[in-house]
Amino acid sequence: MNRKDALKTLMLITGGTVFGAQAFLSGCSVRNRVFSLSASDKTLFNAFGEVIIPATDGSGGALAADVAGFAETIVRDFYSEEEQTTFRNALEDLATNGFSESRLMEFETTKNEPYLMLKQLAVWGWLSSSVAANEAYKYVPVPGQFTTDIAYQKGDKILYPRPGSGMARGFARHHAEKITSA
Amino acid sequence: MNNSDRYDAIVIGSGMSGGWAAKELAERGLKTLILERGRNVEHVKDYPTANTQLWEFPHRDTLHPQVLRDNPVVSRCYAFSEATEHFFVKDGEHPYEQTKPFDWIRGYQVGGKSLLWARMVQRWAEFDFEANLADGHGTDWPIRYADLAPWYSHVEKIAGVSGNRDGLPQIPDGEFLPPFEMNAVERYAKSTVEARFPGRHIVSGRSANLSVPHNGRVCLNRTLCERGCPMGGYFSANSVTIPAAMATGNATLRPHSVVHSILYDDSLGKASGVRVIDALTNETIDFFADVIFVNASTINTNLILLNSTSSRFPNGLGNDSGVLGKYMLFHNYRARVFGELDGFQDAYVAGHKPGGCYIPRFRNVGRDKQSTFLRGYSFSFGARRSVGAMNETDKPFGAEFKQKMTELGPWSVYATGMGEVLPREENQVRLSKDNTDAWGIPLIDLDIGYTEHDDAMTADILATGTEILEAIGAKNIRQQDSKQAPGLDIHEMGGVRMGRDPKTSMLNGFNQMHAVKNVFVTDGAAMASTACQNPSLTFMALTVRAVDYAVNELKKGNL
Repeated sequence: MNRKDALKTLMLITGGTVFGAQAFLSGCSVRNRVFSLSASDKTLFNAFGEVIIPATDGSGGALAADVAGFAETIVRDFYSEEEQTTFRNALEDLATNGFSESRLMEFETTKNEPYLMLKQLAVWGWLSSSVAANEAYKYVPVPGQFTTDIAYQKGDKILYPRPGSGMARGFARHHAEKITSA
Repeated sequence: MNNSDRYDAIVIGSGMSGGWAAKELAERGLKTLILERGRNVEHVKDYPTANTQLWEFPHRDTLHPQVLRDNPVVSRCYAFSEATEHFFVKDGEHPYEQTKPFDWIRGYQVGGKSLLWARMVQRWAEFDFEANLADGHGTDWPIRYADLAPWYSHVEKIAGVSGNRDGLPQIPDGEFLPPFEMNAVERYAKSTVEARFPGRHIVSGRSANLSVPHNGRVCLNRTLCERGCPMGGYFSANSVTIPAAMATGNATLRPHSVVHSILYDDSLGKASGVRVIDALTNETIDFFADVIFVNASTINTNLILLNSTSSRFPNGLGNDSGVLGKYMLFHNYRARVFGELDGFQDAYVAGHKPGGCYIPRFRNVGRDKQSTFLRGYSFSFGARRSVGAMNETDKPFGAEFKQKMTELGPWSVYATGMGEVLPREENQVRLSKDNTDAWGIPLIDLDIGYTEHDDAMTADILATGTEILEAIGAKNIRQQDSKQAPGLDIHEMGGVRMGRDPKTSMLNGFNQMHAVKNVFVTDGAAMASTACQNPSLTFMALTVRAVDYAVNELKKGNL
């Protein structure tokens, strides 16, 4: 159930397609273990991420969550060489041509796939970070009880989605569905 | 044979039912050997991810796509993740053949799948035990509800079951700790549906999670159950029955022991012991005992019995009737209905609930008579507040985008059907003629499928699920028939069925083999039908009842 919720939200935040499963759809077995991001790559990716998920009052954004470190792990471990190249080229494009809001809006409108790949990594990395859990949500790892009838008003901090079925997990399952149905 | 190989009792399997067999046998003073094919998993100590935060997992609890691709079967299980991977059998570890597609989900370790289960524990109804006799599908159960009721109680008191006394004949009340609360939407659904559809009820699911501390264990509502719970907040063999067995001083736990077969002694006219292959050394070792409990999990129990051949039993141990491996059963979990609900915008919860609600069977109950299918189905049901309030018109990045991700969305509601399948001889497991596993034991071939009867029930599950969601005002209702293969329900049963007649069944009313009196089968393999309740509680109750009988028979010198 939470998974379905998560997927619906995912559709809205990712533009509908989750990237990074191509290697497994096509059946080739690739793990380019040597993939890494330079310090300047990471700075650039975190800066891009910060436009997607900025620091706001009371909670850190993509930079604080170091989404670049997360992206490096996922691109290294999960992506095909082809997807890794797409990722690198997209990053280079951001370095050369910048990532103004108007440019990103254009990417959104045209469903630019390299951009969406980067955006997804930033969102996924932030959502599954301790920064998001502890600052943007109310993270209660050991509730000690379950109680209903808690009044909620818009603006109240909400419970961090249960690990294992929250939005971050939705990314994982989306991957899984694409792969296992292939 | 030497003394170190000799026990009063051997239990094959240390999971949901085997743990109970071991505990009860050891507590009654029998020197008991527990054989487990996998490694040991000690309570608390061997739950490596129990306290791991999401961001501490290398891939944030996301399995590597390569793992998913290499393991298409186990990857279909909802609970298989980076946090739980070590408790599941990978597809390649113990291959099997599929004449028809079957997702066989397994946990080879001490505790078995009791570490991983969904913990719903509804008792069977009186009419469930009468169903085979009433409509002629399958053989008559040799027991009735009254035979099992005290043993349900015995298990519930020790395991700890949270539930409400609802007074419904479909799911008789048991020994309950307080129920987990239903949230505002679930209570609204209950009152609305019960008023609108007489005979349909929504209750708090009976759950083997502790709503209050119980026997030194406590649930802290983390809902990370599948990782193993250091507080013993839910029932598992690891947290309850295996420690109890070991505490008697009478039990010996032997992990890494793959059972090859049960040894039959022609001169004694009974089983003499169990042949084991040590998974670490590949050594073949025989162990001997007066009584043997087979709790290897449904399909492996069938496999062991089929592989236990002798001149007396050339077609598998105790298989005079020829029904061994036949009449395999499962639950139809294909159909679910879900949607969203407006309103209740100010309602929320604190903490996490380790269970859901339950809609007991209402089809072919009382005056309800269906023409397209026999018996019926239940629903797991629930309402949850979704996370994320973004709309298609919102800016898809930036501060507002972030804010929307941290707001609550509408309530989502769901109903997932769990349908009874009818006993059919055609649903079978057999030994592979050609292929063996790493230990030289034949692979099992699974030939289990749906019928038009299941399709008819699926259609009705979707129809009534939709009615129920419509009645509570849900919108955007979607129906889904996953058409998932049998097995993914993880409720496989049958093949060594109980019955009154040795000509048509393997076991008598005490789970004792008709033809081999000192062998008892008390896991899912013994089931003669499935009803539409989650089955583990019934396996456990059958087990403790069978142990009581076996120990008494042993004392009388009858085994």
